[in-house]
Amino acid sequence: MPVAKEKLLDLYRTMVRIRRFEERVSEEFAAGNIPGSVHVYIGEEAVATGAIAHLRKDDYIMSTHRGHGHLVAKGGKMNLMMAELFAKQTGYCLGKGGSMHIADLDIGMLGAAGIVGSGIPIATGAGLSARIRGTDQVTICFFGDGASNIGRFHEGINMASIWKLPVIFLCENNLWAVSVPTSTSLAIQDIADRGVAYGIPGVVVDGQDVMAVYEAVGEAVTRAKKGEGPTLVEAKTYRYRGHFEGDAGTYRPREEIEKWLARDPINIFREQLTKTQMLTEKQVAEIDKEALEEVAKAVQFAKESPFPKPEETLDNVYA
Amino acid sequence: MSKVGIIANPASGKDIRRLVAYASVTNNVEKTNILRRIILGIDATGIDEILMMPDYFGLGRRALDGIGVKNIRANTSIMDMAINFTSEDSTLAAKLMSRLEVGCIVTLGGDGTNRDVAKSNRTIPLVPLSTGTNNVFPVMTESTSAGIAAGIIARGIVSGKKVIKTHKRLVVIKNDVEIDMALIDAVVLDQLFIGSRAIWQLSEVKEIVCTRAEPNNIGMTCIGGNLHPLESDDEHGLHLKLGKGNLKVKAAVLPGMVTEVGVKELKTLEPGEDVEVRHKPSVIALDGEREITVTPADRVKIRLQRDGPPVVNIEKTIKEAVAKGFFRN
Repeated sequence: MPVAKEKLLDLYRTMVRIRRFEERVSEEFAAGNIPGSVHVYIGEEAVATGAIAHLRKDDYIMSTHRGHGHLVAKGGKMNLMMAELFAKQTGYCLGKGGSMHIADLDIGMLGAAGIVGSGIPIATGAGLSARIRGTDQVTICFFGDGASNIGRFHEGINMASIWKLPVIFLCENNLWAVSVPTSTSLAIQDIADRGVAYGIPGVVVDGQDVMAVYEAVGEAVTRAKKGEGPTLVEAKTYRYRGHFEGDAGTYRPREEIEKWLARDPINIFREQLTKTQMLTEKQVAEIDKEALEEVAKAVQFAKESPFPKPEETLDNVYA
Repeated sequence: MSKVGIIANPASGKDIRRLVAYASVTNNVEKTNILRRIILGIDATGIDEILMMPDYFGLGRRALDGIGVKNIRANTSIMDMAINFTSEDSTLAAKLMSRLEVGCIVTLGGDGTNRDVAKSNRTIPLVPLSTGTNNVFPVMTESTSAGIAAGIIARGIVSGKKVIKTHKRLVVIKNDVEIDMALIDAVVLDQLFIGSRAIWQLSEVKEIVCTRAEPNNIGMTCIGGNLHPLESDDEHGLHLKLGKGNLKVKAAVLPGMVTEVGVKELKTLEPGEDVEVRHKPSVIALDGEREITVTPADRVKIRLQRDGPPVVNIEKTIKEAVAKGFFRN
């Protein structure tokens, strides 16, 4: 069935909001306003947007070290996100977690995970929890190509497959695990092929095309809700910037970067929408302006917020 | 000097049909095995040279690593060709193989792969081998036999007249410019987006134009095949409009998915006849993949032509070679 116009505009708006948020994070990090480390999601917006568009508020996502986009798409509050990145007391983790540890259980965000692949068994556990509680909640587990080579990937997916848990394992294959290309770290071409080993469907989608992600994950969510078990979806995508802010990414060939920049997910979708008269140039400008204003307010909120007090250092520390 | 080209597509067989239906999964490790058998089959016929398309996964290189170049009599190599990791690689490889005067090309992929090859080659005979369950143009057969048949053709052991037939094709003309083609079918969809490319929502299918319609195949052509069978070497094509009408037919539209379909209109097409796309906006899928967006302002027509690529009948080729005593010492 054709997707409703309002839904299409929501997808576009979400992608723009993620892009503008990340661009500002990059600027603020360079200006020295964000301590620690950040990994921005620029270039990969179509994956989180297309996938999470199928979820209800009480469905779950498990995020990664590159998780800001996932959180924005799930309905995270930008001011709390930005405050957390600025290490301010008003942030999601009271300013003590930073970019890689944000969670918001009220909207089903189980957390980001600084350790590569560590979210996979957590997502399997969330699926088991939904099964035991008898709900129809699904979990989308985001991870990268690097994570697909570690033990937790195999253990988590195997267990989810055996118990037919409602989990979508969504690999954001951006071709590079820090500075290691998939061509030297994978014996196969497509991570989706690994689904066969665990008896679940594995499909490859164009991660730069939000509608391709939307369609594939939509089918995977339906399958999960029907009790048919997990799906492995591999989205071929690309991060435009280095692995982390400050990484010049000189290990990547210029031609490769240019090829992917030419397939920008926001440009692709904007062109599709304007061509089919779903989006006007005026709306494009309005959506962009609103996103910039939202981000600016979040930065202002973060800057005006206090740092945690020294005497609170050990509060809310559990391990 | 006798030469055979091989175009193996590492990207085929991974799309959403593995999720929405029960399409088979042929991973690249298996494709490498198939490729080895093709090479050895070709080599057994005494061919001088085998040329393979390079690809991002390195199917050809891995196949040769497994066999050992020393164990192949033919001069076997990966072509020196820039690749851009898209379907255009297959089109370019076929073009280069044509320039290098190969006598036959073995393709390993689906309908889409063969369509890409046919965009630049409609003279060199093809031996199309399927890597999945959702194909019409390539055949599911043992790859060693396919390699042998290709070698026999390239060496001129049997007459092409007896074992090769020219396939039909559908040409897509948008705003008076020929922009694309299909070998099997062009399907008009009530869609706005290319998205995940495959077709699985039958409610979106408005019209089907096909070069052949065999009941034993699956996909959109099966709908026509179960009403009005049409062989690949029949000179006609078929045009169907789906929806509520007098006709209802049960058809295998996806692997494992047999469903009832309403057909409003069905007519045969003459070679050269056009079908105008009236459903707008829409998307046209070519050989099973959404490819072309049609806006209300576009004028698009689909034309049946009898100038597709020549296709080798593997079984007939080997039987003809047997009759000539080719396999005897």
